[in-house]
Amino acid sequence: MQNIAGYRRPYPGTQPNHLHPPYVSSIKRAPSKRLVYMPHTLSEVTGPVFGKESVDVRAFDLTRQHSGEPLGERIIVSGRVLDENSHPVPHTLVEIWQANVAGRYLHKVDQHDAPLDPNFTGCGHTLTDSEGRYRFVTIRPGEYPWRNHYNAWRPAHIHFSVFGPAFATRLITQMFFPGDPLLPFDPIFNCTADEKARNRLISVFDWETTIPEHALGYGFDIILAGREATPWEEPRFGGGK
Amino acid sequence: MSLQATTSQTVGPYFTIGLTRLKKTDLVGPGVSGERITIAGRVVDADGVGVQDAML
Repeated sequence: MQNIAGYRRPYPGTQPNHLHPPYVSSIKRAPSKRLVYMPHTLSEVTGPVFGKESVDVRAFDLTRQHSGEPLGERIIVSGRVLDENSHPVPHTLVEIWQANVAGRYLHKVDQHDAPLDPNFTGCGHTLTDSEGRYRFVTIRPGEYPWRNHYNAWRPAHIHFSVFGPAFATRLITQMFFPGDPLLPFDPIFNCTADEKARNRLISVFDWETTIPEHALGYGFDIILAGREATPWEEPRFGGGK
Repeated sequence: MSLQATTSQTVGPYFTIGLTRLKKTDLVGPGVSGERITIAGRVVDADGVGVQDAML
């Protein structure tokens, strides 16, 4: 067996419970048996490298992908990608996707009765800089209904994928907006037991990145799993329920 | 004091809108030797229903 320093497993309660019955599709997806602890091997501690050649330098700006500008409120979304040891994660791929201002995705399965915007595709990507910083220009996405329960509406959110240095560090999450009245009712947001962990998914309004007479800024820092100093002897946590 | 990793959230049904640029189904370019094979199959969910837009 190789002796490889893996990445830290999540602190209890800080990740979504696999089974969260109010989030109806989690019922079928959740494992019914206790999880088996697997040490990280080369498959987890290595990962794809996305260099400059795999990135379109214009893709950070979702408002300039078509001949006209999309409808909606222009916003700047920026932040830093760090690991749990507070080290910046440089030159890593950050991808986002989102609904348009009317709450509709450009996707054949999304049949929500709201207009598509011919000037908005809703996806972008960028690499973090040498200090782990990223920045997107986009529009504030609309809330939209879904069929989880009666009168269910998703709060406004932007989907994020962040790769980091290894498969074990890849994070897929959603960024929310401060003061959104739908957050207390959203089973996806609320399937994480730890309130502080949940609230870290809410971006902060940011004067520093707000552009006068142009766009509001929102800050969203992202923390990826940090490397263990030494290989594990025993599982530390059992993961989510 | 260690930071805590950001909470994950579901990828949702519409993730493919960001992935279509990466789609590549032919891995064998002109200079590749060896027997060419085709791999095909079907992706179904837990109810046995075909998944329309799974990414492999």
